Amino acid sequence: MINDEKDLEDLLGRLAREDDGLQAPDAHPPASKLAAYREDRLTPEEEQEIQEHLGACRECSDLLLGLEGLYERPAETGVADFETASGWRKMRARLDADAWFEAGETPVARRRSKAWRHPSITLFAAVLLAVIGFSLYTLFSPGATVQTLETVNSHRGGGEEAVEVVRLPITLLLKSPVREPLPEYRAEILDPSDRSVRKVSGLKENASFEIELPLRRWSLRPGKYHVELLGLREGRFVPVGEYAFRIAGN
Amino acid sequence: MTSVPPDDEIAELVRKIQEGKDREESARRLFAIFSPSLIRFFTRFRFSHDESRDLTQDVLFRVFKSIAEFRHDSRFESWLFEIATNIYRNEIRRRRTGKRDGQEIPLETAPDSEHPSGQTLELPSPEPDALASLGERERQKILRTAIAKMPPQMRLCCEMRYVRGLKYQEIATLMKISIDTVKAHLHQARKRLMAELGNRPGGVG
Repeated sequence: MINDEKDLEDLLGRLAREDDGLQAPDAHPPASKLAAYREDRLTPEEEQEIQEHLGACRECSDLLLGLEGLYERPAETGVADFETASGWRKMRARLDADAWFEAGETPVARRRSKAWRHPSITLFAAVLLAVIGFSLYTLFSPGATVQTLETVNSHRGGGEEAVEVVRLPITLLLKSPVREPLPEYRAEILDPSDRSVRKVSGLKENASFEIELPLRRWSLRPGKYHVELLGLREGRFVPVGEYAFRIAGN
Repeated sequence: MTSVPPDDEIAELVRKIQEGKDREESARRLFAIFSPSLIRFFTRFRFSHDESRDLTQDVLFRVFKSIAEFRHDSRFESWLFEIATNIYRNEIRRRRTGKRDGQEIPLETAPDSEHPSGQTLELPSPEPDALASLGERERQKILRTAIAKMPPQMRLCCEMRYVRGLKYQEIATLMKISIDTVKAHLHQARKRLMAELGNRPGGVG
C-alpha cells in the first residue's frame, strides 16, 4: 500500500536496487564524443543519444562528471601540495629518462614553426588562403537575399497551401509566432515525405521578432519543404511554429 | 591549495611546451594544475588513492609525450579527458582479463550518494511473503511503465535520481540543465507516479 511520497520513494529505492548493474550498455560512446557533448559540439540528435546513454550507463556518467572536475579544478581536491610536488619529481625523473627536456621544441611544433618563418612562403600562403576563402564564401554564403515566411497550418493535416518560392542561396526570416522572445531556437527542415533533411541549432531572434535561417547554395534540392521551429522554453525545446517554402528548379 | 588558473593560462603553458620555451617550468605548472583533479577523476571509479596517483602519472606522461599533437581546436581539458578515459578503459580491460598475475585489486569504497532529505534510497530488504511480493511486483511494473511514458527529459531525470541514485547537481551537470529544472522535473514526476499508483488497484491507499 502506498500512502505518501515517502512510501513512493521507498518503492523507487527498491526498484533502484533491482535495476542496479543491469542496464550498463556494452557499447560506450568514445571519449571524444563525451567531451564534444560537454562542449555543445553535437547535433540535437546526438545530444539526445548521449543523454539516453547517460540515463542508463553509470560508467559514462562518472566519466562525464570526472570531466567536469577537470574543467572546474576545484581548489579543495583532497590532494596535498607536498604530494603534488612529490608527484612532479617522479614525473620529472620519468621525462628525464626519456630525454624529453633535451628535445626542446616538439618535432611537430618545430616543423610547423620553421616552415612558416620564411616570409615568401608565409606571403604566398596568405594570398592563396585569401583567394580560396573568398571563392568559397561567394560560392556557399547565404547571400544578401532574404525572404520572410509566416507560419502555416500543420502540413500533417493534409491539403496544399500556397508557399513562397525561393532560390538558393537565401536567408529565410521566420516570423516568430510567440509573443515573448525565447533565448534559443532550433529548426528542422522536412521534405515532402516528412523526412528530416537538415537541422539547424543555436538560432536567435532578431530585433524584428524573426529567426534567421540561412540556406547555402546547393544545400537543398528543388521541391517543397516544411520547417518546424522549436524554441527553448523552461529548459526544453518545444514546437513554436511551422513554415513552408519551395526551392525553385533551375 | 591550488588556485584555479584561467583558460588562457592553460593554453599558453601548452604553447610554451610545444615551442620549447620554459619547458620544464611550464610542464611543472601544468602538472600542478591537473594532477589533483586527475587523482580525483580516478578515485571516482573506486581506485585507491595510490592507484589513482599511478594512473595520473601515466596520463600526464602520455600528455607530455604527445603534446605536439594537441592542435588547440578544442579545450585542453577535453584532450586530457580523452587520454585519461583511454587509460582508465585500458586499465579496466587489463584487470578484467586478469593480466596482472591474477592478483586481486582492492578498491576503496566511494562515499554513497546522498539523499536530499539526508536519507539514502538503499533500504533494508525485508523478506516479503508471497502475497506482498506479488503486490510489490505489480506496483514496480506500474512505476516502470509510468516512468517510460514520461517526456524524455523528465524520464531521464527520474531514472538518474531514483534508479541510479544521482545527486541533483550531478543530474544537472549530466543533462546540462539547472538544478531548479531538475527539481521541477522530479516534482512533476513524483506527482505523476503518485497519480498513476492511485489509479490502480493496490496503489495509493
